[in-house]
Amino acid sequence: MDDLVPKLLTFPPVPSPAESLSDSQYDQSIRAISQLLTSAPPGKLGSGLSTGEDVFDILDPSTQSLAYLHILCAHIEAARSASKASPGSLPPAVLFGGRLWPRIVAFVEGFDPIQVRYAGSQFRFVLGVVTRGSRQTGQPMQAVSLLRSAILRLDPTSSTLTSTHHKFVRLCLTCKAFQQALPVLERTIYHLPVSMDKGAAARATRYLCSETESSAIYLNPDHGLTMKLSSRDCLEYHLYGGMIYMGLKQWERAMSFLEVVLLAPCTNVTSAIMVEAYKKWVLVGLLLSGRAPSLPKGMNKNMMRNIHALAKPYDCLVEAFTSGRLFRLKGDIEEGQSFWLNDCNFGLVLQVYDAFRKFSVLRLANIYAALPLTEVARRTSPDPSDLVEAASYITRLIVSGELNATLTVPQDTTTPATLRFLSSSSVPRTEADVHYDLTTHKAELETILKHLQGSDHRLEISKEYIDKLRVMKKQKEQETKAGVSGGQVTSEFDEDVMADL
Amino acid sequence: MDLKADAKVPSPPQSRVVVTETPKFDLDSYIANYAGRTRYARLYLIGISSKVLATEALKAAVAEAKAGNDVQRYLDAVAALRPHLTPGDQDGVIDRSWVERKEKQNKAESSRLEAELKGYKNNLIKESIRMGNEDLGAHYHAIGDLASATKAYGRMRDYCTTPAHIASTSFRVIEVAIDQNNWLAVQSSVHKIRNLQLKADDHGKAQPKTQAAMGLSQMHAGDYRDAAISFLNTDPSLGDKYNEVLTSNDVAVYGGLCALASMSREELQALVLDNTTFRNFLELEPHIRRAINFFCSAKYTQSLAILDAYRADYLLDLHLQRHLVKIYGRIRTKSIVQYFAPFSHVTLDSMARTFASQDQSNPPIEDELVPLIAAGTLKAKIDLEHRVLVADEVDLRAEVHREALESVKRFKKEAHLKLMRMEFLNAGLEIKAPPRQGMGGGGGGFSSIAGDVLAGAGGAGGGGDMTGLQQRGQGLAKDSRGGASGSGGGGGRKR
Repeated sequence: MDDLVPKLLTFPPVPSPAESLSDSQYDQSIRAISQLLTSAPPGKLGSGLSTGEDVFDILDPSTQSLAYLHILCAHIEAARSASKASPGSLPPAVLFGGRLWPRIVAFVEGFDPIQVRYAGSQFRFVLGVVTRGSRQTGQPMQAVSLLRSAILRLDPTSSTLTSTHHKFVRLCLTCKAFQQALPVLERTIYHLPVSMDKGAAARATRYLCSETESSAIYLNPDHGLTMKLSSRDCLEYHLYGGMIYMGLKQWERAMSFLEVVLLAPCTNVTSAIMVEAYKKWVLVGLLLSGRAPSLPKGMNKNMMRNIHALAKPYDCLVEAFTSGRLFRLKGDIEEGQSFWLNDCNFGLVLQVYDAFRKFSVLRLANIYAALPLTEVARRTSPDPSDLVEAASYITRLIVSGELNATLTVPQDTTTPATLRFLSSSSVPRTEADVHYDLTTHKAELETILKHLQGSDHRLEISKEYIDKLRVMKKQKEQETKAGVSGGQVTSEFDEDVMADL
Repeated sequence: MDLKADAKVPSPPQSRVVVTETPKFDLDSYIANYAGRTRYARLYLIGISSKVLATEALKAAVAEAKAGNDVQRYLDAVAALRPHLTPGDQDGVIDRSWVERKEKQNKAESSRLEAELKGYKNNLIKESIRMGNEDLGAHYHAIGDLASATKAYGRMRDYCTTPAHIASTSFRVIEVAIDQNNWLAVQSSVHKIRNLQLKADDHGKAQPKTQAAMGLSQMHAGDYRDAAISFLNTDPSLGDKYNEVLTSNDVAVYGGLCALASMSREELQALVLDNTTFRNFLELEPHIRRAINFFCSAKYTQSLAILDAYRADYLLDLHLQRHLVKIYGRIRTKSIVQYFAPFSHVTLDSMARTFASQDQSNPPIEDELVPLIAAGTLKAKIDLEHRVLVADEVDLRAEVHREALESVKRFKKEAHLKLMRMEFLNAGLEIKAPPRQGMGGGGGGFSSIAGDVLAGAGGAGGGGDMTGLQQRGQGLAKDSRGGASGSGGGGGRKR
């Protein structure tokens, strides 16, 4: 081990040269280090130094990340084989408060995102240890913050879904760490990891360390930074993400997460996750707008039929809600109680019931400019005679900002209070506000465009696409030849038939 | 005997509409305008709908039926009349001997005509067959067997040789169809007549009738605008030539009301008041002309008052009865919208005065406005505190901004969803049905999907590993539910 450390310290060069390394030089030297580390006998990396110094004190996790990671893995392995714990569980040294724990934390919070690209599977191993360890100690919160920093350091845009993402949201949901999940969830997923064939990978980027347009280039199963995801994982990530937003009552975001699930392509089968997502989506739609949400375009008709058949009670609930009759909604909710409980949606259904009153008050604004509280109570309160309760309910709505109105209570107590709705134009938005909105939207559109081009590009360099191009070219040539020799051009229709075959 | 007679008589009918006011018209002179079977139909309708004219109209209906050959009509009229009479009154007793004699006569006549027709058919003389069928159809129509009448006229069409014949057949079909309330048949027959190559003279004669029949069928279909246009284009030469269906007065009323219900003020002025041909009709019913005039000069109170005054008359009209409430409702709605158009604030009381209705059962004006606002017909809001109706102020600029931002949002969302869909396909993550066998097997990705896929639910029994996963998923769902409702409670407390 002693001989290895000085070599490890040579990369990256200290002090850093005036001219930073070119991609090719960087790739070369880091591969050499990687080679050194992987070829070392397993026991060697895990052993201590002869000087009695701790090797982790010598290496800096943020500069010598690659070496640090390899040695950390070796130490974890060593601790595991030394401990007498059952093979399934982790040794205390790597758990919270253990000997290696501070090292793990230091690494995950400080690693160099370029270097770990060369040791993806080791990196994932460490994260796996963190996740499992937190489960073992029953303290998932520690894993939450570590996984989050790992995801965001590795890919600050977090635009590619990885297996770590999937683990992370699941963990957040289990320990109700909704707020902590937001930094990751707020960054929209644009890509799913896909293994590229060798040729395509080579065409995409020359070196693994190169700056890339999109994180999807290096975040793929080939490099180990993510596992291969199944469609189930991808759907679950979005369902869980939606559920976290539901917990935070951010209905609009929740909707867009669930819609990704609903729009997932399928071959005439319906996934149970989709059905779950649909059920929640319907309820969230009611909570968001007070109306039945309109299905996203492009849903598979067959699948829709399956889903409707399985989620009948929810469709009925929507109907009851939009009918505008409280007793009907109440009856339906009571009738279907076993459904809601079985589906674990009872909490949402109760919120839908509460929202009904809110939306009936809000809807009054479409018709009235002002009306006495007695009228409001008569139309919307569960008990029309209880004006005090109605007043406090309305006040709550106004304070929360959901109702844009004023409630005027007159001096004498004989006349009832008046609710006056303020039109949206009475609080005009400043030009600056509008401008700010427009610029943010523009920036977001540009991001989408960038990712779209990225996806396009990756499709274009894939083997399938190039093969298809070749076939098409050949076909064309044959056709022109046939056209010249036969003197007759084959009709459009025939071509189509051939293409289908 | 008496019991048996009672058993044969249908119970007195219940009309959907009951009119208690006295109508303005005089029954005798009203019914004198009509001819043919519509006389009975109109008398009977007045009889069962009007409280005031019931006895008089039904007695006339009984007399009308007895003069004809339709036994069923006679029985209906007597049954309807009976509750209005004192028990011993002779008019309430069915004339059994007449009924039996008529039934026998009708039967004999039917078989005679059928036999004659058979004879003509054997002789293969087209014209005779046509006339035979015509006689038969007329007979069936007269005795009230409308289905057979239609059939006979249908056969008659096959033997028509000249356009004039076809036209007359079609008119007969129209008449039966109106009796049957079969408005689609009316429309198709009208189209047939219009497509014929008639002589200019015949064409001029047919035009008013076809227009009137067309308007009638459109009115019954609820296309008031089309109906108005048909009536407006009816030639005044109609006169009393079509009084087995309607009179020129009817054309004026139907046309005027349909136009009021469906046209804007400018259109009313241009198409109705300035229409020289329709003026001839309007002269017959000057109050309709006045109502339209008032409407065009924005005097809605007077316009509605005139219409209200004639409500009872129109409710007793054979064709208007079913549509009057709808037509009046539309006129009223339009008046309210037009009345409010130039104002930004109007007190509810002044609106209530303007649109005061004779009909006391009408709800207060604000309740009438609510559905109009909710449907978006009236762009305004009600202020119940100051009791005024306030026009919506639309800040166009802000509106455009809002719409633009919304469409950007929608686009972004859709683009992202499409991109994700493409990514799913690109990554080969299309959801597939699970393989039927070997679900517990090592194929990690596949067996885990198997758990979710419902299409193969029958085979989802295997794989203990997989069910474990599912349960875990449910546990998670439970957690989130707790969290959601928990945070809901927290939010409530904070407020």
